[in-house]
Amino acid sequence: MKRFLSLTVSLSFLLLASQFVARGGNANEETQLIGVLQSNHSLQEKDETCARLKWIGTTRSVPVLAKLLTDAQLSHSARYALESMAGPEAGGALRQALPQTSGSNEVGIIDSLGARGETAAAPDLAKLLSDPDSAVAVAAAEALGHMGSTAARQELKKAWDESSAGAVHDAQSDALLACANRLLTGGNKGQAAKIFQAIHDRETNGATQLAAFRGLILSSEKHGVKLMLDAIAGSDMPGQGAALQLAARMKGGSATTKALAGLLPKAPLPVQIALLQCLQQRGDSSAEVFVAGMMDNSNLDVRLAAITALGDLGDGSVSVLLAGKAASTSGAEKTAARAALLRLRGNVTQVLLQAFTTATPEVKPELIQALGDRGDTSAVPRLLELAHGQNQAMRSSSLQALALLATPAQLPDLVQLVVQAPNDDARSSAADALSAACERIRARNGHYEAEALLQAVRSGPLEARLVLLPACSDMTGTSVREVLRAALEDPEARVREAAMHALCDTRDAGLLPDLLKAATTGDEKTRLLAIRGCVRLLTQEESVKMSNNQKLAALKTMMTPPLDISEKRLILSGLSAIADGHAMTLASTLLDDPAVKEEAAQAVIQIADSLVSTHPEEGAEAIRKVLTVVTDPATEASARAAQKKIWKVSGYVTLWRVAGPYQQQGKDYSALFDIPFAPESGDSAPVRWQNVPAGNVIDLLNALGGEQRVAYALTWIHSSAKQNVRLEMGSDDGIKVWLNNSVVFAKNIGRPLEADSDEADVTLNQGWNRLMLKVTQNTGGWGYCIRFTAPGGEPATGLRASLDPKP
Amino acid sequence: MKSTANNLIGRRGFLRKTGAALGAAVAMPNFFPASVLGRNGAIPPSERITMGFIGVGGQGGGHLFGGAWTYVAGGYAGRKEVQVLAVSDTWRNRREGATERVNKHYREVYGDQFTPCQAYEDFRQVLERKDIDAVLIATPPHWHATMSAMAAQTGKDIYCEKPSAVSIAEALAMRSVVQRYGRVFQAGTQQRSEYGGKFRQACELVRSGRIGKLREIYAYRSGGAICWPKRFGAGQPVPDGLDWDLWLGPMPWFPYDGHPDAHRDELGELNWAQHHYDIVQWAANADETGPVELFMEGESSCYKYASGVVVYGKPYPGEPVGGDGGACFVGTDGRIAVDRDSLVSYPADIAREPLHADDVHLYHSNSHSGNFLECIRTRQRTICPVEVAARSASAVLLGGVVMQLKRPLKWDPVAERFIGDDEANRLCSIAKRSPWNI
Repeated sequence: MKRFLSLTVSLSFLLLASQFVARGGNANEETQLIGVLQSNHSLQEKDETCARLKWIGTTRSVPVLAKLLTDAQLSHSARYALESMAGPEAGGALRQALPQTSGSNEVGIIDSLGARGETAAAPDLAKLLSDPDSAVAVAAAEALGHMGSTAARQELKKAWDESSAGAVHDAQSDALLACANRLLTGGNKGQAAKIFQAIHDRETNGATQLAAFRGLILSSEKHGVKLMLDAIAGSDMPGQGAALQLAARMKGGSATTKALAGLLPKAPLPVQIALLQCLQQRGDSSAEVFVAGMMDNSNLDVRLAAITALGDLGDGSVSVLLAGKAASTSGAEKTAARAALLRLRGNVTQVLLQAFTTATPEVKPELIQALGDRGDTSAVPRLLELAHGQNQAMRSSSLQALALLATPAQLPDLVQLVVQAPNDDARSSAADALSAACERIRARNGHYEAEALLQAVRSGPLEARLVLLPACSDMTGTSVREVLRAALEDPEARVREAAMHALCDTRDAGLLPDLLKAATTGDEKTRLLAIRGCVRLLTQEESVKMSNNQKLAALKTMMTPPLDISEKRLILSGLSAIADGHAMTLASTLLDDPAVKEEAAQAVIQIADSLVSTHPEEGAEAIRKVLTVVTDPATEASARAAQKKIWKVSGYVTLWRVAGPYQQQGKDYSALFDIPFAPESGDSAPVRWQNVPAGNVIDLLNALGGEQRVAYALTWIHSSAKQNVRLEMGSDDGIKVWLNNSVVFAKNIGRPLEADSDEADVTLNQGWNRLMLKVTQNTGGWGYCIRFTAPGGEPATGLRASLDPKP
Repeated sequence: MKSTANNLIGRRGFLRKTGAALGAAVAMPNFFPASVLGRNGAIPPSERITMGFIGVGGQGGGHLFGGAWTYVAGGYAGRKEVQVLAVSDTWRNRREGATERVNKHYREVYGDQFTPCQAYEDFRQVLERKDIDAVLIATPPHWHATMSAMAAQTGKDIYCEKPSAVSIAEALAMRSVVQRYGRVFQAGTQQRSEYGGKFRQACELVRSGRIGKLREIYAYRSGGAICWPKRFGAGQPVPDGLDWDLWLGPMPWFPYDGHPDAHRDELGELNWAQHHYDIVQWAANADETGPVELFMEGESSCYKYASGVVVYGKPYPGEPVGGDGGACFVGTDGRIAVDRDSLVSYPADIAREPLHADDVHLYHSNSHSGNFLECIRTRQRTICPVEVAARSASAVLLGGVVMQLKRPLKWDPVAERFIGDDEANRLCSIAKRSPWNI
């Protein structure tokens, strides 16, 4: 909003203009605009006319604009139009104005000629290179540098040869550098190199010399590489910096890369790091062996730079080296090595798999991690072979990798590993890997195809069924429900027990009736397990989408039969997680139970706390009851804290009418604070009060908008008795408050809204009290919130608000 | 209209008039990575990167002292590898307050053993100090490109706030000068480094083909431009402590009107859009190129890359993620939306699956200021170098041109000119007030 309001007449002019241009321009309009410039219109009108001619001006406008170039006040306006106008006429006008101007206007015209690349002006500008006004001479040099033509370059070089140190000389150097860089970009390296060499040899200004050296490297073909290498190996720090900056992009292929890498061993420590980073940016794998050689450097930062670079430059041949580094280090080095392993290109998978057979126990987990992180699913067939093998250590490592890599299509293969496992350990490891793979796939895809697993649970060998049943708790859907329900009726007791555990761990809301049945009809041990599972399913499973009513109905069902203490506690923990007034009521019923009253109190406090903003009154009532029963000091303290929190959001005045906005030319929000407008001055100007949406916080920006202004807000407060109360206020920005037409608070400030940031003790009369605010607006947000409390901070009583005083 | 001493001195002349000539050596810190020196101990003054701050209002002050959005507690002043030597602002109270605060902090940390920070009304005095390695520019946007170029010419490395430029021509000119002098440059598009890497991750996923072939990008904001201001009027007294002429700088001179707002006279989303288009360009692998066609759809500026990817300057319908500096990328197999708070994908597993070896791994930085300082030491490209900044600024400003002309345009991203469209090319530049020029 700020930016649009701040736009001036010229914006509307421009927007209007855009409509014209969108229709393709208008010759009559240009005639009218020319007329404005030829008349006695105001400076502002002429300036806006120039701005419009920037858009639509043709050669017809050039003569009138040209006249303005010599006008001290409108020269810039005319340049605004002419500088970007195509065709020789505009450039001609600028050139012709040169001898008629001086100082700032002349400099501006020179700048415009340079911006246009007006090569025809080169001879005129060349004469100005030695102008006694150094600002003119500087501008002339810069303009010639922008042109970059052969003539411009020659004139610059001649002047540069003849000038000595100073601002004009520096500008000529800069312009020559610009010309040389243009030659370089255009492929004329020989010419460019001559200029760079001359500047480099002569200049003492460090920045200029460095720029010339940089150009020299780039323009000197093979010799440039030598220059760069010598500079990096040398001790001239600026040159070294320039060379290092270019090294990353310097041409010359692997020969250049190797030459750079060859500097690594003898370079001082800081240059080593810079070199490693530029080799990384070159991305040329021929540096791999050199970089790898730096991984054991005695300095940690060098090692980190080498490891990181190797990740971008290396292939499979360094993968085991990096895995070894990851295994043998810690902290940043381990992290860098793992990240590098992830980025390696080429035949990494095969190398890592081969290394499986020979790696030490310390390195093997890193190989597994690397395969998993890299997502090398092509390794899975080989890993399955190893997992079926006799070597226990190899089997174990392979299973860990499979847990990270197996795709949904490969889950049946993992099931077979469980079914065909030769012993309990192997079976258990395979089941763990399968479970981890399922969990990983579910986390990423939201589901997985489990038919092979379910088939094994239905009809597999008993031992396999027992280890696979727990995996059913992670699955949802009709098939898994059927399998679990069948298993719960299985003749084999161990299967029934495993199925019950799986049921109690389920994340499938479709099994809630089964859980409730177990929770209400099972034996003591089963009931506790089922209640715990039910509470978890209802309150902790993110995937379960149930309304509060549904959750409460389930918890109520479990509360029906007589419960022991543990069961009551579990249910209370479930209730405490449901932000609902009915949950609070249910929990409150257990406040009278001596065995769990403290837990019930904690549940009520937690629920009341979560309902502070929506049901503060119910929460306050429940907390009052809590305070009558609790004995534990910590619980009592929590209850009182919750009570205060509720008080904090109580008592807001939500009904308001507002008037405004009011502003005054040249006055900002701070100045407006003390200017009385109609609502406070009582003058005869009518005040239009308008309703705003009711709420604890009144958003004036939304209602009135804008910046640098004020608004007034009005409401009426009815008090059942005369009473002292505290007025709590928050405002963005400043606020002044009248109670019954007397100022009771004022703060002229710019700030964001924060509730209760100010307070004032006031007295309310019995009956209706007129409450009026003035709130200032700087920029950004604009609003306020007001509430009454008793002097001690507790809720005030006997108050109500209305937009009008009613009998 | 008044003509001031500054106007006549000229930008280069100032250096000669008010101070000694630059020494033979350009300021440049040693190559020691700060971590080497800073680990388990203080960094000697000679090894610290010395900085000057130009513009210390809300944004610059935040960089200097830290704040919710500056990502480093204590800001640059709190970094032990940095020594802030100079503060400049056209507002006296700002520069003096900031300078006092810097010195108070250093006094608490170093006792009396430090070189005091100096306050300067004129930023050129900061640039002429040869003991300063780098400057942080956080002025109103109409100064950004000009100051960046001047800083490069005096051998400073540069951090510059967004928008990097207010016209396409000055974006290109700034790029040319910074390249010419081989300076380290970082744009204030910190989303590439901060926010837990969410933006980088989104770009890596898009560029790795996780949403199939990229078709559309919703940039959530249109382009922007700066308007020629109202130049003549009664004006108001310039507040005590403000150098109004220097505040205006390259802008046309007009009397003080009571609104020295950083983002006055802007059209569209000039202030914020570069955050969005920086990420758009990164994800589209268009960091060093630009659109080929521009058009309007309703009130939104839109464009198309040569790859066929279309960028809409508006939100993806119904997608809440993206408004805060972000974008929504739509491909043949899904879409990804990212902003400062969230990264979401449809289907959801696109974002859950981590990057693998064969995926695109982009430049990694987890601290924008840390990346800037490290690159000053190593002379390598920052995560937002001048080439990238000029293109993302240009993407925003091209949107501003099409918003003004309200008709389809064709752009040559190599020549960086509109094709056969004089009207559009006119809007690529704004004549600067002399003597300010790039």
